[in-house]
Amino acid sequence: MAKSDAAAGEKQKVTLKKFFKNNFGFLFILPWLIGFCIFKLYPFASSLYYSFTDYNLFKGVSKFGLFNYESVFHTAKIMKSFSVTFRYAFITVPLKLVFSLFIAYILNFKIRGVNFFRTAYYIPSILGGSVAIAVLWKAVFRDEGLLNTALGFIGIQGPSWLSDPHYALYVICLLRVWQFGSAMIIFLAALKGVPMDLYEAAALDGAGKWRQFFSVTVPLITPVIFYNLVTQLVQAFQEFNGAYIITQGGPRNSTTLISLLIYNSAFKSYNMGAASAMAWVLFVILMAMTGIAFASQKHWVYYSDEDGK
Amino acid sequence: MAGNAESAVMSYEDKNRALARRRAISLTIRYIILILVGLIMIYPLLWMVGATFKSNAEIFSGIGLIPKNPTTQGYVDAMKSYGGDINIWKAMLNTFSYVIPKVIFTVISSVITAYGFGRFKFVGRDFLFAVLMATLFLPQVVLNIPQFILFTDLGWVDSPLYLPLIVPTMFATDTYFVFMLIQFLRNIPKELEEAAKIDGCNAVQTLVKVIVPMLMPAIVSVALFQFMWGTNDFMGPLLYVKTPAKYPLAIFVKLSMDGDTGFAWNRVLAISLISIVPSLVVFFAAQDQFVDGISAGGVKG
Repeated sequence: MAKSDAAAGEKQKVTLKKFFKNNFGFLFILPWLIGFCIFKLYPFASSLYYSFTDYNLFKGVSKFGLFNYESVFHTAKIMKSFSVTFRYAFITVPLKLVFSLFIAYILNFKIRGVNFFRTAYYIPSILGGSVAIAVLWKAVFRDEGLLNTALGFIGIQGPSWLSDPHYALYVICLLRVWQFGSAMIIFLAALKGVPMDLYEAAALDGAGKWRQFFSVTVPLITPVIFYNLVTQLVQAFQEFNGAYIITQGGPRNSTTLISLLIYNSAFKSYNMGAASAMAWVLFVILMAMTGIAFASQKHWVYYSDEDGK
Repeated sequence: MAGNAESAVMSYEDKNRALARRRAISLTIRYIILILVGLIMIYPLLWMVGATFKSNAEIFSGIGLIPKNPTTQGYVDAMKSYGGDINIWKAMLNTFSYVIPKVIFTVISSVITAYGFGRFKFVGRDFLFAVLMATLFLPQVVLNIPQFILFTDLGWVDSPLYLPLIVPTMFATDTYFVFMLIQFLRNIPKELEEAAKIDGCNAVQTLVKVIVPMLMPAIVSVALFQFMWGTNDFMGPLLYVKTPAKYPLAIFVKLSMDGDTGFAWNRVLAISLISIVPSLVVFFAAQDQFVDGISAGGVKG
């Protein structure tokens, strides 16, 4: 691109005009390209640079080196935060995928009131990211909250969900799993695309519903499972709102997801350099995870010949 | 012979009956699962609505939905201003004052970009498209810090016009929407555009008169999702809005929770509920578009 731009610039205006006539479409993507350079590429590159400095919003840069990365791997709090983030992702992503696929599978049978159920399951996804729902979550899981009141009626003394380090992370996880609706709708659309005659053929061969599910349905919708897996992973590793609003990372850092630590380091103590290094470690982890997912595709993702994307 | 045939028929009917019974059982199981899961999903939301009409003493004394002694005290308190600078309605107005421009700019810039990528050939198109796709996987967490530094340098932090929240959307920075629109565009036949060209429409006229009307369902989806995400967004205003009078709903709700937790739950829940009413109204008004938008592939959530 740059090469052809430069080539056009060297010649006369006429050539430039001709270039734009032949590449008219370029004008349409130009705003995006400018925005990409200013708001994505430049920040991306500068964040890599900052990660090697002790950049502080008020003090600027005074040294350059690998020290931020060293401290990422040598600070117990940061390593713990990464392990909390991994736990969070590895709990929420599989649960969300299994749950959304299971419910989509049930909804895909000719069931009366599909639209009603679909709406009911989807509402949490629409609202789930909002602060209001985080407030609600706090009201449900606080010591005298809705859940413990309910447990009290059946004679169980519920634990302190939000202030016990054993439970707090699960409460945050549950908030995410509760929002399985959009993944479910994507699955539902994919399930509708599985031809009925395949089920009929499987049924004739004596396959029960479960057998049909695992031998017909799952293989055919693996591209969509893959899509949901990757998007959910990327999002889970970056989760911020729930942990920030409901538990502020506590108790005893049991819910300090890495994005929280990055936020605190960058925007509370203004150590942009140190925070950038953490962000880059997270970025590399994310790239590795998506890389592994893409590489594993050929072993389990089935693309049909006609409509493989 | 006759007896044999009869018994065969009998057993056939028996089989049918057994099959029907099994079907009825599995259907019942399915409904039970769906209803149970649905209840667990929706109960907290319904409880929240009821709780806003309860007294603070009643809220956590039971798990019922219907208040025993309904009171509007929670709502009355919810209207009170916070530190004199901000109240719920002002916060809502603040939210819309940047969400609506965000929606409009996102739609315009994304449609233009999608049109460029979807319908034209130009030097470097494939490379730039790959870049576009790569930004889908570029996590925001890496960009937050340098963007904050950039906006600080530009003097945009705490801008009364919410510049850091609005301006990037003029440049189609939400790549998901561009991707979604390109997917839609691929399924639209090119004949109409060719006809428009023959009739003397230039590329811009074709975009406005032919492409936009055909893309309308996708455009509506983009607008709806951007509205929801813009309204729910917490990190953006958390970083870039510092003046209490300019706080949007997301920050206002968080503030009221921090300030009131422990004693005025009906007020906090009433504020929370009011804050999600616009999203709920939009959702129920346009449910099908949401579902279509997600199903069309390529929307996060």
